[in-house]
Amino acid sequence: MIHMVTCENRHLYQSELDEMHQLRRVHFIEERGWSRMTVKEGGEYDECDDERTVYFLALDQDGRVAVSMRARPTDDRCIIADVFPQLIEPESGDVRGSDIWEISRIFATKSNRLRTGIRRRNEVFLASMEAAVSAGITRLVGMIDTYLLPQAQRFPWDLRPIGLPSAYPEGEVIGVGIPANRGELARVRRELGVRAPIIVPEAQNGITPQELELLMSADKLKSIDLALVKDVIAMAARSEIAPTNEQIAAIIERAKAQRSGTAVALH
Amino acid sequence: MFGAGAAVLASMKPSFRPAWDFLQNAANNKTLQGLDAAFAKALKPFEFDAFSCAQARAPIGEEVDARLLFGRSHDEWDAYYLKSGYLESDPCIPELFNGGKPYAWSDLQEREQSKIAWQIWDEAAQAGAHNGFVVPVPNDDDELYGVRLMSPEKKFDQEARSVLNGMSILYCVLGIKLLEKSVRAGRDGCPLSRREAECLAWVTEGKSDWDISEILSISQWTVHEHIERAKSKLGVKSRIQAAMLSSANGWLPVNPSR
Repeated sequence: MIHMVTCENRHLYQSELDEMHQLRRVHFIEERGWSRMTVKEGGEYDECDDERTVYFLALDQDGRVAVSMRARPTDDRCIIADVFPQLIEPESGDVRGSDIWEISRIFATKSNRLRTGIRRRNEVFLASMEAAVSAGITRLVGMIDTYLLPQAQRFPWDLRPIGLPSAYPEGEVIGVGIPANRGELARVRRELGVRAPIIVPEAQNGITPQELELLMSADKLKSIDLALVKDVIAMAARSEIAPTNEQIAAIIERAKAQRSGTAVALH
Repeated sequence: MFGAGAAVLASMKPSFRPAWDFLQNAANNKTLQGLDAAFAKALKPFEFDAFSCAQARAPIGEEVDARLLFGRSHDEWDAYYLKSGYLESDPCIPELFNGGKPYAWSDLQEREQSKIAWQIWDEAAQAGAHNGFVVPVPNDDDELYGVRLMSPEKKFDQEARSVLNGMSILYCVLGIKLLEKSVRAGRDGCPLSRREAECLAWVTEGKSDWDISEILSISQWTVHEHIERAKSKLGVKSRIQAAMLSSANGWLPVNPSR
C-alpha cells in the first residue's frame, strides 16, 4: 500500500519525509550527478516542495522509504514548461492547469530498482492515478530520462511522449503525458488485477497510517510480522468488551515491546 | 502559454516530423506489422532502411545468447551473420552490456582494432549496411533488449541521436507488449507443426541446421525439411523471415525443447 502525504497529514510523516529528501539527495545528486540542486539539512529540495505538493511513499516492512514520487498542480509553476519548454509540442495538449499534476522526483532505493521492486513502483504509479482522479485531476505530465522510459511504459497507463527527446548534460530526457479519469483508472486496475484501493486510509483515533498499513497488509506479511498481528488480535479477543481504537493502538505498542527482544530485521 | 512551444515547432527540422508523429501515435498500433510500418516511416528521413529488435542475455561465465524477435531486417545479412557465428566476435554485442547508452558502429570503429570486427563491418557494408545505430533497452532483470538500426549511408545526422534513441526504446517496449499479447493469445491460427515451430525458434538464436539437428536429435536433412515447409506455409523466401514472422505472431515456443 502507498502513503499519500499532503499538507494536512504531513505532521504524521515527518521522519519519512526527512528520509525521502535525504534519499533524493543521494539518488539525484550523488548517483546521477545532477548539478545546481539545493541541499538543505542533508536533503534535496526545490521550489516544487511546498504546501501544494503531494508525496506518494512506498514504505518497506521496517517503515523505511522504498519508492517515492511527488505530484503538484501546474497552474502556478511547472518544471517542464518553465525550464524545459523544448520538450513540449503544442499539439500534445495543455501542461499547465489547476486540473493537471506534474509528477517528478520519482526514485527507488537500490533494492527496489530491478524486478524485485516492480510491485512497489507499480503501486506508486497506481496511487498517483487514484489520487489524481479523486482530486478531479485530468492529466499527469512529467519528464523522464529516456533510459527509464521502458519501466514507465511497462506500467499499463496510457503514457505518451509530448515532444521530442532532448539531451541535457547528465543524460537524455523526454516529456510525457498521461490521461487521468475514472475509465482509465478502472482499465489500469483491471490490467494489474488490483481490486482494493492502494492508498492507506487516513489516520483514525490514534492509529497511525503506518500502523493501519501493517494491519491492512497482514496477509502479505512475512512470518515475524504476522505473529505480531496475531498477538494483537489475540489480546483484543481476550478483552471482555470490544476494544476502542485507542485501546487497539495501546495493544499494538505493547505487542511490539514484547517482541522487541526477538525481532528479526526483514529486507 | 504556447509561445515557447510554438517557437519549438517552428524550428523543428522537417526530418524530425515523422519521428514526432511516431512518438505520438505508435501506441495506437494494434499489430507488430503496423508498428513496424510506422517505425520504418519514421526512420526513413534518417536514412535507416532496416531495423530489428533482439533479446540478449550475458550470463556470467557463459557465451552471450541473443535471439531475434521482430523487425524488418536484411534477411540475407542476418542469416549469414548468424551462420558465421558473428554473435561471439561482434564488438557491438558486449557493448550492449556496457553502460546502457546507445552507440553507432562508427563510434566503435574509432577505437576497434580487431581483424574480425573489421571483417564483420566490411562484409556488412558489402551487404548494403554501412553504419548501424544500436540502442540497448534494459529489462527489469539481467537480460536486455537491443534495437539495431542499419543504414546504407556511412554518416547520419548526429543531432538525431536523442530522437533515434527515444523512438527505438518506444518501438522496443511497444513491440514486446504486442509480442507478449500474441503469445498469450496462444497458437490460434498457427499453421506450423510443433517441430517446424521448434526449428524456427532455434533459428532465431542463430543455430544452423546442424546445430538444430544436434539439439533435437534428428537428422540435419529433417531439420532442413521442417524449415523449408515452414517457409512454404508462411509464403516467405528466407528462414530469417519465417522465424521473425512466426515470432511476431507468437507461434514459437518461448523455451524450445532440447
